[in-house]
Amino acid sequence: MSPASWFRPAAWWPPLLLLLVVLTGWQTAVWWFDWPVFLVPAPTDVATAVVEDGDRLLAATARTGVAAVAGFAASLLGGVLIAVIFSQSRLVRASCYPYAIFLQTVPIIAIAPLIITWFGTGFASVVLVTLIISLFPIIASTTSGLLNIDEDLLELFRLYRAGRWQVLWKLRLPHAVPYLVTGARTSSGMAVIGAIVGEFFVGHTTTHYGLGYLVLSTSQNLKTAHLFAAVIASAFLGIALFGVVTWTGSTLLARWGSGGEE
Amino acid sequence: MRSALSFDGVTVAFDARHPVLERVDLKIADGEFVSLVGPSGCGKSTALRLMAGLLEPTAGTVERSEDSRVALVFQEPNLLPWRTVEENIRLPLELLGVEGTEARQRVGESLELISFGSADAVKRPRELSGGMRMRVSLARALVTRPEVLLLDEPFAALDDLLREQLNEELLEIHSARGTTAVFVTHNVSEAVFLADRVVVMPATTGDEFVHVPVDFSRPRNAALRATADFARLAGDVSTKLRDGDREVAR
Repeated sequence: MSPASWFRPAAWWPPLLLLLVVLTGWQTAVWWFDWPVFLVPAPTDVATAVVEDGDRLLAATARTGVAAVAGFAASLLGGVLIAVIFSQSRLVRASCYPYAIFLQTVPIIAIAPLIITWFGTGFASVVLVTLIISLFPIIASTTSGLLNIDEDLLELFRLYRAGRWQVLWKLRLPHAVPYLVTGARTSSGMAVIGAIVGEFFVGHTTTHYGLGYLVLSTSQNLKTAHLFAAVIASAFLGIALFGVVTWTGSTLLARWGSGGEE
Repeated sequence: MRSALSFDGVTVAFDARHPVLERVDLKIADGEFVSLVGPSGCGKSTALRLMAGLLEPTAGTVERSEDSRVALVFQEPNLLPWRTVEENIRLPLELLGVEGTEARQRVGESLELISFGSADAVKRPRELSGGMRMRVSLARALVTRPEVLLLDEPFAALDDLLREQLNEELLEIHSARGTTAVFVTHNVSEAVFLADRVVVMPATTGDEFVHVPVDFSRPRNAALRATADFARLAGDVSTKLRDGDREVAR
């Protein structure tokens, strides 16, 4: 299924129907087996928690959302810039690319203490963690878009004595746009995860908190229904950002003439 | 007659033991239409890239008249998908720094050559058929008003009917512009139909090039292909092509 078709209402019915079936089964099972609410809350308990916790959930979602968007925006800017530098020099690429991969593979829990030491806990550190987690897909996809150019097209530009900047500006960058859109889609999903994980490790403040902290505190207090509510809010945030990025990407590519999914 | 292009003892060797071209002499007159045929891997594309100045010979010299404008048409149309037809055609002018009224006028002229109206000019490449894309690619090459037009099997991917139609359109453009043209192809009939001279490249590097003059009067049209003289000449070129290949087999 192509991303664009997710926006068609007809595509919503099958998953919605499945959700209804699962919720009904779940509710019945909780009632039948009489599970305690701190272990498995019924869907109705979760709904109550959402209503009770509404303001807090909304504020936390907004806070996490802002951190995710800020980190994602930084990834977009930084990733494209790094990819452009990589595309201009084989030597730079060969020297730096392994470290970009390192950034992708290093467990965030391992560098969290370092981030706290340098930047303290709070919003800036959460954005930094988000950036670290969501940067690599942008670098990788944009770099390959800047470099995977048909030899004939490069010859065409050479024939008209195009300079390095003309090749970059009129050929490499526009050619990389569909690749960047693909990278941004992956990166946007990771940005939300990054923001929540970031809040787990480096975002603790009891007055201003996001979903990561909410997940942590509700689970420690065995407020499982509220934990579910926080998890659902996280999922919605992820879907929202992914949806916006996918829609923007599809719109851009349709204008771009490359059709994205071709 | 002034020659637009000449090879003098040209050798190209990407590695020393297996040269692609060896001591090649070739002269192409101003305004001449030359078809270059030969078995796969005989160095046709290499010869074309030497003429375009995209490649330097290992030995010998390639001469072109000073500041002569050269254009190259590839087998694939190679249009930029994010640009409209018009913007694609304008690209060479942008790269060469031709702007404003001059650029607009030249793009309009090129669009006219391929009979594209204003509605087609704003389309994106993916909205065009294969034949239309190839026409745009041709228009992009012609927009700089080149003195030498190099074509590397431009119609190879198209069906026969479309290929023949584009052959005729190309001849019309050639006679209107008086451009020198070098046309690489695998198709003997196409080679004969277009050219003033067919050059058969040998399968073995270093062997002689065979030159077959084509004296049919111009303008030429589809009826020419049906004549006995045309069939005889095409047969002659095919035989020379096969002979070249057989030398290798022996």
